[in-house]
Amino acid sequence: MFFHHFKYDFLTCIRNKGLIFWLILFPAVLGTLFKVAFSGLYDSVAVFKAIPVAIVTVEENAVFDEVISAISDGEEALFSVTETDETTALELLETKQIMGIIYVSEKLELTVGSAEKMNSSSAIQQSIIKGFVEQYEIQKSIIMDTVTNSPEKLESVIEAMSADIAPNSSVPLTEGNTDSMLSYFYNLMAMVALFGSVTGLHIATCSQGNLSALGARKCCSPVNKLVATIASLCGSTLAQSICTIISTTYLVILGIDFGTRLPLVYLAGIVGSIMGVSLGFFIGSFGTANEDVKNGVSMTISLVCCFFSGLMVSNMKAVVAMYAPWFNEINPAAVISDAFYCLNIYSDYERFTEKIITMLVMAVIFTLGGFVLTRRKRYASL
Amino acid sequence: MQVFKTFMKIAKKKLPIVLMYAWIFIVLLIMFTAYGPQDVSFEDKSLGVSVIDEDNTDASRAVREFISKSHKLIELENDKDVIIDALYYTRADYVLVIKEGYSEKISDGQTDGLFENYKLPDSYSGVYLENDIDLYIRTLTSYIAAGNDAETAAALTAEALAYEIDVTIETFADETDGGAMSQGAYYYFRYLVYILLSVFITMLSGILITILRKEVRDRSNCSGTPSFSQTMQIIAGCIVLVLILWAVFMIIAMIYNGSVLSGNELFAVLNSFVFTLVAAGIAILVAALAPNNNLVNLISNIVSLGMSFLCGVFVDQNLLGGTVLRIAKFLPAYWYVRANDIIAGKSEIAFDSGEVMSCIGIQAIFAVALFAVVILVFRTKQTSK
Repeated sequence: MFFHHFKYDFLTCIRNKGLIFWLILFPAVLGTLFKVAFSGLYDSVAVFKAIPVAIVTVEENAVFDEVISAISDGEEALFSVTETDETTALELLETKQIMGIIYVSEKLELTVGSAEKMNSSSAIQQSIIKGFVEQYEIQKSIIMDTVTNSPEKLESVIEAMSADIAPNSSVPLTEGNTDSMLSYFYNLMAMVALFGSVTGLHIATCSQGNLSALGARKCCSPVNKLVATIASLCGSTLAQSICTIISTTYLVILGIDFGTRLPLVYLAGIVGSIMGVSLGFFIGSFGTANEDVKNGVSMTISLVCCFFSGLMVSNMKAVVAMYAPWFNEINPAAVISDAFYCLNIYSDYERFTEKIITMLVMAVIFTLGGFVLTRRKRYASL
Repeated sequence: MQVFKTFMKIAKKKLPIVLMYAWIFIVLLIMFTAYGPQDVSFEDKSLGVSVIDEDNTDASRAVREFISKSHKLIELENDKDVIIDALYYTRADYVLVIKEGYSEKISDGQTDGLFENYKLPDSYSGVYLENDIDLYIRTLTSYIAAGNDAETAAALTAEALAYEIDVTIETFADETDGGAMSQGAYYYFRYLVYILLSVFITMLSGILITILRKEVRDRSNCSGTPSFSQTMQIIAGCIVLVLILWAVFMIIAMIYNGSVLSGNELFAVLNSFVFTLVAAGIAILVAALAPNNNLVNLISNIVSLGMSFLCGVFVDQNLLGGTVLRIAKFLPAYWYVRANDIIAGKSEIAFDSGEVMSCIGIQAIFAVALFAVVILVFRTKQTSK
């Protein structure tokens, strides 16, 4: 009996061509759009490149010229310098071709553009220019003080200032890809998995006599309801998993970096689908509203979960972690996207396993919850 | 008025779900505005820095004090996983570990291997912080080289590094013209694209699919009401519904803004009205093409999320690449966001009412084109029947 239900529910699902088409088309279209919109975005916004600065010489300053040429030279240059007159420099600033203008005279002066239209990386670039100008002025004042107070120490002070020092070393963070734009793709996969709730919801509707004609027919058949429901859920999960596998494969072909452990990426997607279908089953078992309303509720819940997981604003998960960290642990979308994140970032499997177990536990709770809500129903008249 | 009444009856039936959508969207909108991308002034551009002090001496505490003056200190556990999470989700920009023995090394004049850091590779924030730390150590060692003991050198360093230059902020005259629109109103109108598309496709398409279902249409066709009158009543229903929804969003905008929309904000109101027509056109087209109600939600997500990402609703237009923007120009939301950016003075060009009107005009053309396609699709459907 189990296999009979399993087979026919699977066939019903895959024969619903419209639904299957959209479930596959959804991640394909959005994945392609994300790829187009975000490719190179991280590199252009977050990865350091020499900061464009204009130098306007008001008075000759040989020491400054030496300093600026030293730091704007070579592959690791801090600035890319344009020496020009004030009018041109202001034009360059207005059109955002440079981040600031340094006026060189005995005392340096700095002009930057206003905060309007500025993003976080432009603000940091301006702060770096400001820091450089301050550093120059501070070191000049220390030298002047030394000349006045203890000229015999001047040589050692200058040596200390200009020595090659390495006080600060970086610890490698991870072997994975730290491009934060990837979180959009993780959340997209989470959304695909949660959209599996549409199929789960259909099963709930079709197993209740007061919600559908098919449900009424099923209610009067001599079959164990738990077995029939689980078989139907398995059939839908299989169909949904096939959609997830196709979507993941498409994203991999598109060049989205899911890391090197692809089989586990597929596993996370499939377990996410199981959770999505069971979530739909739970929502579908709740109350007597018709399938359209429940569909709307299920889509809204999926969308809200994805919003808090960072589908629309990428740092939303961090905001949630700050104010309500527990919510990230129970938000289905956050758990699914975290599983992909763990595979990319961590070399061990501890947190990945934790996320997979969380998803499975949620799936069991949703399924049992749904079953408790629908079991032992008797209808006097249908 | 039979058809119009039926239209409104279905709308009323769909009201609970739309109200639920509306409430959630309003909450999300507030969250979007509060936690979405913000304007950042470099004057208060402080990074989130976590300082893990393994040395715990006066000298190491002085470093922490120095960093806290220009950056926001974030408390993090000294655990690599916690650090990675904080950096990836930009809760912290930089994590500095002051290594044990820092104080002794500094007193001995050693400058190598004092700190370790965690940061995203090659980031601007990393360079910014490293320059600061480099300056601190150079200044400190310079004072020690000038004959001061470590404690005095630390005090002198703190004093010297408190120096700040005066920075001239060039506000290019015409930029201020656009400043009349508040930050809150700007983001409200920007995210409105997503909300309008989602609500319209969900509600309007849902009603139209129900009312244009074959059985209902066949029943209506054999009634005494002429076909032309039926179509006009459906159109009237659409217009009334669209106007009500738009008005509701404008009232929310005023409540959210805390004042009546005025000045340049009126351009934003006009812009949103024309985009409302576009969204209504898209919703009706979806109703004409979607086979059933279940798929409307999926289509709604593809259209609203796709257009929002591609046209600069969730990510600033000036961050999107040239190719993306060239593609986005074929979508109405691009022109909506562009007009909104110009109105708020966030575009690369200065506020220019002519430019704003041309963006709104392009959206109007999109709306006309969409309605033409809608008529064509309905005609074709009727003929094929």
